[in-house]
Amino acid sequence: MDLTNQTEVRKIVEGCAKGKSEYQQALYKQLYSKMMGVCYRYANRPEDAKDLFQEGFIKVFQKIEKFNFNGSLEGWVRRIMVNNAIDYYRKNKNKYAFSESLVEAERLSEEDETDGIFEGISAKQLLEFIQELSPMYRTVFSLYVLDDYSHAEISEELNISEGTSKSNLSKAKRNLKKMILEHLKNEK
Amino acid sequence: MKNKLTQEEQALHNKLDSVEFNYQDAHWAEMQEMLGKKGFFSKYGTVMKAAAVVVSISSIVYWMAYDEAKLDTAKSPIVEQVKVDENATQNIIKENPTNISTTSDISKEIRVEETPSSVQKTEGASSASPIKKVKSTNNTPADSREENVIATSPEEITVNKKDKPSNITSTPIKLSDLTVSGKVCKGETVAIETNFNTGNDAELLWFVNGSKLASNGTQLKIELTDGKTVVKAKLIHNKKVVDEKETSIFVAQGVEIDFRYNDLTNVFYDFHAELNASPKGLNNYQWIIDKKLSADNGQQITHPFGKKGIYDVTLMHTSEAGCISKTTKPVAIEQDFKFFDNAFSPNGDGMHETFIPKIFTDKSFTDLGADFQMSILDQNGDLIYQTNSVNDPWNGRKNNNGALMPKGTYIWKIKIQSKKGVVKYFTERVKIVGS
Repeated sequence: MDLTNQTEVRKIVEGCAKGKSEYQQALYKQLYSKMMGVCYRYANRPEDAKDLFQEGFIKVFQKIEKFNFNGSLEGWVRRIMVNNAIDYYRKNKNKYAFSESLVEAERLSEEDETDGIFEGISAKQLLEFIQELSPMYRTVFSLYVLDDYSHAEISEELNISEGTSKSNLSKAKRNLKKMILEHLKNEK
Repeated sequence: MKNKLTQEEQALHNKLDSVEFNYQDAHWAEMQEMLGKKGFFSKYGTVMKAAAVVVSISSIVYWMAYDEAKLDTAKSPIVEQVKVDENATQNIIKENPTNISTTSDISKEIRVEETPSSVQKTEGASSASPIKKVKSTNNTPADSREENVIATSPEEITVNKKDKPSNITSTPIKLSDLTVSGKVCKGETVAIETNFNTGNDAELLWFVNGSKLASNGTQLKIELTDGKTVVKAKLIHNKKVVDEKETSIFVAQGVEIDFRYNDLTNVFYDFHAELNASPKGLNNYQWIIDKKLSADNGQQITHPFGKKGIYDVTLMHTSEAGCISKTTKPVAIEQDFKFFDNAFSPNGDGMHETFIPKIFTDKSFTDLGADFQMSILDQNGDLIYQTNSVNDPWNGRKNNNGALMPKGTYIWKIKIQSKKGVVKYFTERVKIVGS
């Protein structure tokens, strides 16, 4: 299946809108890897990623008849997934005993060499670190770096100030780097 | 991207964007279950909401809301999803051996009843009785004839009674037997014809299964449905029925055909799928794949689709009587081999110690009994390791027993040869990481 081919996209959308299982499965299968990746970046743990993914796809199938063929189908599905993940963040943010402001951003010492450290670890390993970030850091980081939300949009979605969004992003990156550095040290 | 990412952010972006997750059938199975349940709950939910309205406002509002709720659920794809599932189970039932024999009985029936000659026999037999009826009508007094005049009002009949005896005796107007032409199959249009030996002052009325049709020419065209269709022609002259003929057309229930497909997970066949028609008892299936008729007309065929895509596949079957059954479904060809492991760490920690592309240790490959050869080369193209067994993965050492090779990128080449001599080569890179 080629999601850049308009005729195929039309077939898929119409089939899914009619609730035809074969078409639903084709779309599900096609976007499985990408969308699971999106959900992993917002989830606390792998099980939550799977649940987010499944919930998101249910919304996709429920809304697909409203897809208007402006823009790519993949982008549309991705927006539903991200919105679903934001809802998940909102629902869960009060579940945690700690307040985000108390999460200490790791400090990097002068001698820590951070150039190119991202090349040294696998993508899956990096995802695990993303899941270890606090919910707010993780969500801000994913929205900004992967899903192209501006700080203004993030501040609106997460009900924080733009300044907080910016500082959360840099704290998220610092914490990530610290985790990677430690991981690489342990490996040596 | 509208966000201007720093180099670091871009590196993170690229890395995270490249993560791949292997599709899991179990997740789809769960999704299907959720779609089913969700359908039920949302239906239930809307009706409950509607019920709340009853309590708070009035019963009229309730009924409006309820109807809306019904409409909503009817539109919802999820409800249809459930229907699809029901069909699926029906199809499974059809594959049951005892049912196959019933199906073939049906096809025999078609043979007997649908050949044009036998149709005419049936027609002759059934029109015999109306003729008798008409004759007897001619001999009895006028009042019994009233029954046959369907379209005329009582007053007209009473007026006509006076003229009747003289008319019938003076002009014996006759309809010829009805002839049926065309393929007697469900969904086909057949033509029924008759003639009468009088001028324009006579009117022909057609009845199908007791309902009067608007058409009044000497030829009637109708589309056939399953079962028995009774066609009656009545000739009206001077507002009286002067003759009538009847014929019955039988359409045996058509054979319901269906097919399933399997993306073949065999490394020799990229983008091949197996198509499986049911019922199995029939032969001479026809496959129309991507608008082209396949040369293969077996019940089970393997088709090379050539590349990823969604293809419309139509399965057709023509019964001996010439009746066509067909069904069209999309076939999604996904097959795309991924070798997944592109790095390993032969450091003695017990994880990812050795390397061999997973697909070749999978049952789908080992079951083929194909020849296999894997060579590992370094960046200079020097041979580091070679094996002919999928059970001997590379352990990161020269010839699997020398010194551990330095971290970095190596090239693996695999040659496979099927029992029939089909040869395929694969070349990819693998990294030694860790320490």
